[in-house]
Amino acid sequence: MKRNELKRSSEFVKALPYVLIALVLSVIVTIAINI
Amino acid sequence: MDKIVDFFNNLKPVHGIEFVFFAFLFFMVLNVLRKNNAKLIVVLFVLYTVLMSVLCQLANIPSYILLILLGIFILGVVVLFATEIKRSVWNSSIKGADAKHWDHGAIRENAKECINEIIKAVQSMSKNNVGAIIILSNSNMPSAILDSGVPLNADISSELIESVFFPKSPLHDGAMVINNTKVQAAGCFLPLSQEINLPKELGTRHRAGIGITETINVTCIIVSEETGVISVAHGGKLKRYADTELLRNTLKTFYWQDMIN
Repeated sequence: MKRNELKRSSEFVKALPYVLIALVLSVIVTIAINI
Repeated sequence: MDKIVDFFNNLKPVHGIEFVFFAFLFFMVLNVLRKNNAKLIVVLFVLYTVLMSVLCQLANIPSYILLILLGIFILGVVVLFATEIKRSVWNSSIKGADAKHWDHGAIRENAKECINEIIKAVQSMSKNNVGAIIILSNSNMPSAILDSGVPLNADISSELIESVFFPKSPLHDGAMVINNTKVQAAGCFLPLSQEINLPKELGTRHRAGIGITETINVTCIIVSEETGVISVAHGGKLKRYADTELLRNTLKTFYWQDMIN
């Protein structure tokens, strides 16, 4: 069980930078198509 | 700059929906690239999106052109990683569907016996040049593949495995699917690998074994009918000339990691 939790949390940490990139890109695109 | 300030001053709910939609879409694309270690394409994707957004503003190009340009890039990523996307969709939709109902204690008790029975059958078939293809699945076989064979739901035994692959048997020409401590089905048809760099001596059975592991997270044990060579396929990669140790390690990984996790 602990191993699974560790696996999940390390997956989350690995995905975090990509979540941030996706958020920044979506802000840029949302602004670009609306102004 | 004024336009951007104006945009933030006049934010509407529809902008929020657009933001969430793009964030989700971009994360899905970036996640596919991350899982396939395609860092260069991640950089290209970010640069492309930012450049297109800025250029469309500077050149006063309508916003739908920007959306089309983004769509083309995303479509390219989907085409490039079609196999990987298919694998992750299949795995996430069926992953562990039955796992919560498993009696893990019983699996631990029976695993050793199952491992011994499978090794005994595989080695016997190898010795007699009987072709065989056995899939070790984790309840993640698509029903389309299971339905193409005959459901067995029988306990694993070397006699059963050898009987199924006996050359005159009606089920010998397909794959056997082992799930948990049961033989789930036999005579199943598998998708063939489209890899062009496979050695010519590998026949359809090996191609099928590699093909299924390319798309689904399963392990495949293949016995060559011509040479009796035992191979193990996983993640689209084939290890040939598998000895008892490799077979035992493969089966241990299957029973002790894939299933108990």
